[in-house]
Amino acid sequence: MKPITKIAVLSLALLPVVFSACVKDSCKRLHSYSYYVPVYKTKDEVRANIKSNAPRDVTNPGKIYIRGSYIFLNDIDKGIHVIDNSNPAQPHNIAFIDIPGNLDLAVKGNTLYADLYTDIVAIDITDPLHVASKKIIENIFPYRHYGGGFVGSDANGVIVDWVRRDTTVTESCESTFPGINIRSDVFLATSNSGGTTGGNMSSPVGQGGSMARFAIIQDRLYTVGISALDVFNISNANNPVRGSSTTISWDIETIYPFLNKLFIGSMTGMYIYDVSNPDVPIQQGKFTHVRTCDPVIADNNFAYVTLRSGTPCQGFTNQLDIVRLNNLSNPELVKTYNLKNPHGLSKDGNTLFICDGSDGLKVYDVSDVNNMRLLSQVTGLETFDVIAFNKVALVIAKDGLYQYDYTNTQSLQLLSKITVKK
Amino acid sequence: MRLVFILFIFLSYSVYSQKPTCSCSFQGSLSAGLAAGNSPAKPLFQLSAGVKSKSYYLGVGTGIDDYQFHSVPVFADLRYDFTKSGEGFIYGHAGYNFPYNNESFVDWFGMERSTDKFRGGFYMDAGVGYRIFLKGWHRLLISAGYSHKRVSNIIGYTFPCLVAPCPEDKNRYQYDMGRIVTKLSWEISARRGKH
Repeated sequence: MKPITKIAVLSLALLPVVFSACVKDSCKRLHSYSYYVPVYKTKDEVRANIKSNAPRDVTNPGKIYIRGSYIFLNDIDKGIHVIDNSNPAQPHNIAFIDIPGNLDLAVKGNTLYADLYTDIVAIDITDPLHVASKKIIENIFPYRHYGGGFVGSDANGVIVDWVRRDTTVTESCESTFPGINIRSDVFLATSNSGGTTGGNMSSPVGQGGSMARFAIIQDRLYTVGISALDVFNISNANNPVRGSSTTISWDIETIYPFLNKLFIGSMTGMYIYDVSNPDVPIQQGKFTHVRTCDPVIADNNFAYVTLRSGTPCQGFTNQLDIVRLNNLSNPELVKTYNLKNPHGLSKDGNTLFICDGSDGLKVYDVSDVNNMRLLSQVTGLETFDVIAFNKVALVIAKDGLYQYDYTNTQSLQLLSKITVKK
Repeated sequence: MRLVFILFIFLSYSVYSQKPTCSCSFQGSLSAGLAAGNSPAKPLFQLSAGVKSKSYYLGVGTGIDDYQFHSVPVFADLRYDFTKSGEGFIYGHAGYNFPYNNESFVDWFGMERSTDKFRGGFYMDAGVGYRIFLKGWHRLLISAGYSHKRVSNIIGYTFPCLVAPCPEDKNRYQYDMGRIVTKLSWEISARRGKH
């Protein structure tokens, strides 16, 4: 090998040894996210606007209530749609009641009770086209917050809307935790919520569904927040009077009234409260289960509890628990049925309707609770809650509000659909 | 690796069977090397084929590059012989880097990712080399230079909300890797000897 060749080969071979310490790897994180900036109005402006405004498209359906021939459908954090359902095959969206921060509702007679973020408002709905706010009781739900943990500020008024902003920030991988970024004045994304149900053509009192946080028994309105059970005397429907408040636990989700009992669903169990004395609910029993979400309904003999997993619910359990109620102080598990991701449920006679998430709506015969039999299944929709009443099943799904005729429980017939507009 | 070898055999056959009809000639090379930077040094393999005219060579290449992330670069290959005898040369590669079979470095309290995918990026390599002419069509090349590759890892986490679908928080982790690359190459040219 010639000397020049030796020098060249040696030089090139040494190059990495000399210079490899001079080059560096780098990493930067490009974090793209959307956040929502709240739009505030003063409390006076908000309260003045609690009336029958022009109908709007359903954008984010939440809980639902049937009263007479009307459906009251919550649009999460926005207000309540008034839907004329005289003909379930052709429902008409006739008005929208602006109630910012609204998630729950219940109806007694001609009065609708709804939450207005941390407050409760009583609204006269005698004429659904001309509703009127009658009374507001403040600070009933002190721990209320929006999705993402955002807490609305009273100092700024009431949040009536959110304006979306998209942004990308670039930073060194070492400088921050990967993951969520939360600013104090915004939150990352809109929240969603489940639905609820209710309604009875002959009763002056509506009927809460399995995912409701409001329930009415005779002259009392019962509400559950994150931790407390509150009682309101609604003998004078337009003038609710706040009564006792009972702390239950810190993971309360739903309330379901049956006779003089309240079945309260929490993430760790189902509580049974006796309201023989309507102003003083007394805990009578508890059925404990694994940590998960659990809407509940009940009849004379059994409670039906759906347990589901998912990011907000934790756990890995997706099933229906049927619990015997003979001894209310010691509810006893009868049988468990596996499901996909069960949400709300409803029962009419021996027919049980279960919203099983992306598996759609399932209809069961529960005349023998030890041998529950699938009668039919409606697929192609992601269901959250259902109310079955008078042979019409009202189903809240991700993409709209469906109504099915279940005269033949083995073959449900679609009557109508109100589509969600995004 | 097997694919690279088969391609090289095919290339070699093409080079051997070609008759010189113009001032240009087909040329190919198979390289093995080492990439070293502030991450652990890793081997790399490359295959290039193209046309040489006078002092210039233009070709396309591909290979396997395991520095930090497994990837397959696909690049344009330009070389210039700066000595009359053709022994000294400079080269430059520019192209795109396709990642494969990688695992993310990112972990956020062990939380399950809703999205975890890799994306490629720019690839370059530039340096200087020395050519040793062997018998017939064969040459041995030794070269060293600076190389850069970019790989992105897109990670998404879905955080709790009340009802699905919950919003996803997405992060793009963009890794830029600079390293010194040394290669030993076996070059085959359609022309014998020095030119």
